[in-house]
Amino acid sequence: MSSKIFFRFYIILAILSWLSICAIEYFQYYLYVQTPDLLTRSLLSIFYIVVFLVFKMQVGSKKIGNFNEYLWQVFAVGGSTILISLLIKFLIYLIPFHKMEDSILWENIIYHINTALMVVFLANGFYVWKKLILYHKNKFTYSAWGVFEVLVLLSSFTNFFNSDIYSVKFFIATLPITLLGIFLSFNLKWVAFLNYKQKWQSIAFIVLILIINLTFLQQVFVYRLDTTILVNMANNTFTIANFTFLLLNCTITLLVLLFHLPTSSVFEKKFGEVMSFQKLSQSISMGDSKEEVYNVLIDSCIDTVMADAGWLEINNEQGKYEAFLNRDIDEIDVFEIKKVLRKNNINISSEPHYIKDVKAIPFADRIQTLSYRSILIIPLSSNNQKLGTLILLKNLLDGFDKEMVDITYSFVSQASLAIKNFKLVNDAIENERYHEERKIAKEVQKSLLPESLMLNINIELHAFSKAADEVGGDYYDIFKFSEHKTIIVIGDVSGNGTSAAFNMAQMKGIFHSLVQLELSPEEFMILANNALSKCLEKTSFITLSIFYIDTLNHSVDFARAGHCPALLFQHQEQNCKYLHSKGLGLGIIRNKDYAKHIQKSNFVYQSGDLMLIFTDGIIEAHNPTGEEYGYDRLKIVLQNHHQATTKQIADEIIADLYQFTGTNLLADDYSFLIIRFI
Amino acid sequence: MNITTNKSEAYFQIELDGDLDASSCLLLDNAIANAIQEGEKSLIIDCKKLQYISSAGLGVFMSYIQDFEESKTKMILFGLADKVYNVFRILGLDELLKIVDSQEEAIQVAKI
Repeated sequence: MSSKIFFRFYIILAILSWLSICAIEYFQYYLYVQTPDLLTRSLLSIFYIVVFLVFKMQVGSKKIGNFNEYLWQVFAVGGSTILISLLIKFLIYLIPFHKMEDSILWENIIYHINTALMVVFLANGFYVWKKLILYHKNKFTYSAWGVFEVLVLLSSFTNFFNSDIYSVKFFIATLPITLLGIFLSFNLKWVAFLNYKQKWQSIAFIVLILIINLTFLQQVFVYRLDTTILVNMANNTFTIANFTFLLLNCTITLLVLLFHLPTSSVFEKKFGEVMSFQKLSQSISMGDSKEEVYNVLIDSCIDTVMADAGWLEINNEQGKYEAFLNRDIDEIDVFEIKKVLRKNNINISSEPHYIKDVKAIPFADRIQTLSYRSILIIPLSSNNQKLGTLILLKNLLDGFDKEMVDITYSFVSQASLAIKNFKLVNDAIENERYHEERKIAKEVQKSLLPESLMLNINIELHAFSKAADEVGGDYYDIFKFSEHKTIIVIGDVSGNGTSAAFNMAQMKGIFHSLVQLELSPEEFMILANNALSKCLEKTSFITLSIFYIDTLNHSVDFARAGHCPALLFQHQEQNCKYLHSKGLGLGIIRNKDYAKHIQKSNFVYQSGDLMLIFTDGIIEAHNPTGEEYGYDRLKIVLQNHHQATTKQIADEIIADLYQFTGTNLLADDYSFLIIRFI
Repeated sequence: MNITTNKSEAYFQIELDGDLDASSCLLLDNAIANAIQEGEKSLIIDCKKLQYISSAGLGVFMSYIQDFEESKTKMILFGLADKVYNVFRILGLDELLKIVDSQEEAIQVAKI
């Protein structure tokens, strides 16, 4: 806000000071009022400085991306000022003057208008060039300009010494400013950023600005010794220094521009390369699709090295095409060229190759009609993993130079990174999907284990199950056959993970079908074996123990098919023992012979007896030294805590197990059931 | 798991060293499958250095039982540690596989 106020204040001050000078002239000439010379000269200095400050603010606040717009501004201001000045001269010429006095006054006024316009032109040019010179500035140029600017503004006070521009004094005063101006004029970094067309435009602008500059300067010299001019406004270091600066600057810039013209195409190309590279990087970071990266890669490469054709092939891990992009070449020709390369034992997917003249290599008969001569082959790879190959073709003999090969390399490596990233992301998604599937399997598996174990008031039951993986292969189930007959089953499906869980689901189906029939335990096993023989994979098997509990007669019929033997604690005898019996796991023999390998066993229990059935995960759990938990430790825990509730016993077993292994993350699934007969 | 095979005139020996679990059972499966392809009729499995066998490892032995019965191929295991033997026994495989104590016994059985 305050800068706006200053800006307006400066403008008003500029106009006022200029009008005052004109007024003083009038008074002096017509009314013969003597005004001190000092006042006019002070007003003149104020006018100079204020106009400069106005443009310092006006140009300084402008943000223009294109340098030619700056030059256009200088030209536009210069052009309009010179036009106005010429127009006024022309009008004056048309009006005939009768009185000598009038003519002198008019001449003075025209002169003043002219000077004002000239100062505007100089101020604008001065600050526009400041912008250009300080483009990509360093600290030194910045301070040098600071000194220069202050010197120039200070020089406006030289109009107090009315010295001639040809005098030695004048020359000495102007010299440091001029030298500093020349030094600063060589800061032409902005020229490098112009393209060919813009350079020509700049040249045109600068020539025009030079003409305007010289026109104004000529007027200064015309009036230099004119005695009719009362206050010589331009005959001082300030204006001359400014003219000189602008003149030198324009000339140097013009020369630099001219010298830069032939190389601008190289710069433009480099710039294009950088842009392509940036585009490629951007398409990577933006997460564009794979196809977009392929497209950007091949197009940037072909553009940058000016290839006539090319193709890009991306292969998957199995070496099959995942993508194929061809530019200005038929697939048939690609095929023919590849055939020639293959015959020459050139492996395009593993090593870069450059063939100066493909038509000259052996076996090239079939590609003689094609226009391509030189071929550049660059494979894409990341961490030694082959991703594909980029092939560029030129109709020229030996058409690729080292620089082109280098830039292609950097494109390819950048793109390889992107392609590799895409592959990693895909893998991650695949992995995520897999985990999602496992989660579903786990849900399914969880639903396979019985929710309620309260089926018989004569049995107190507690179950514990934990899967090592997200899904496990441990299975237990319970079925109430009649008021006094409850059937409990525990099993372990070989392996773990998803396939074990599915086998477990099959086992549950078989259990619930067979358990409805009035079968003995060994008959159950034989039928279960038959059923599983049809559906288990060759290397899978299931171990199973089944217990038919008759709470009326306190008797348990059971069969053990390869499963860990049950542990029985007899309350009366205070005796703990494993119930060993003969029995082969299910699915091991898949024919009638199985019957020979299974037997029924039986025991009679007393009230208060305990039975512990479990899966081998508990027995095989081992501590860091590799020692197994084993059957004996389990037996001791049950013996020590037989008086506790089944829940408490379960807690004791788990605590003892974890203490032994030193962790609660076991390698296998582990489950157990504690049954107290009442 | 290290698996070394050793072929002599009368038999083909496979030595197991380490843990036979889900990750290593394929090695054993390959070794046995190769032996069969070579036309071997007597396989001797040296289990002296077998530390542990998982259900997947058992599955490999199990999967050949019926095939071997039909093709009259003999498979004899020897030198099992108690812990390992117990696993075979509980599963009931001790009745289906020929398990002996020493290499000499195994060779003798193989020769019959």
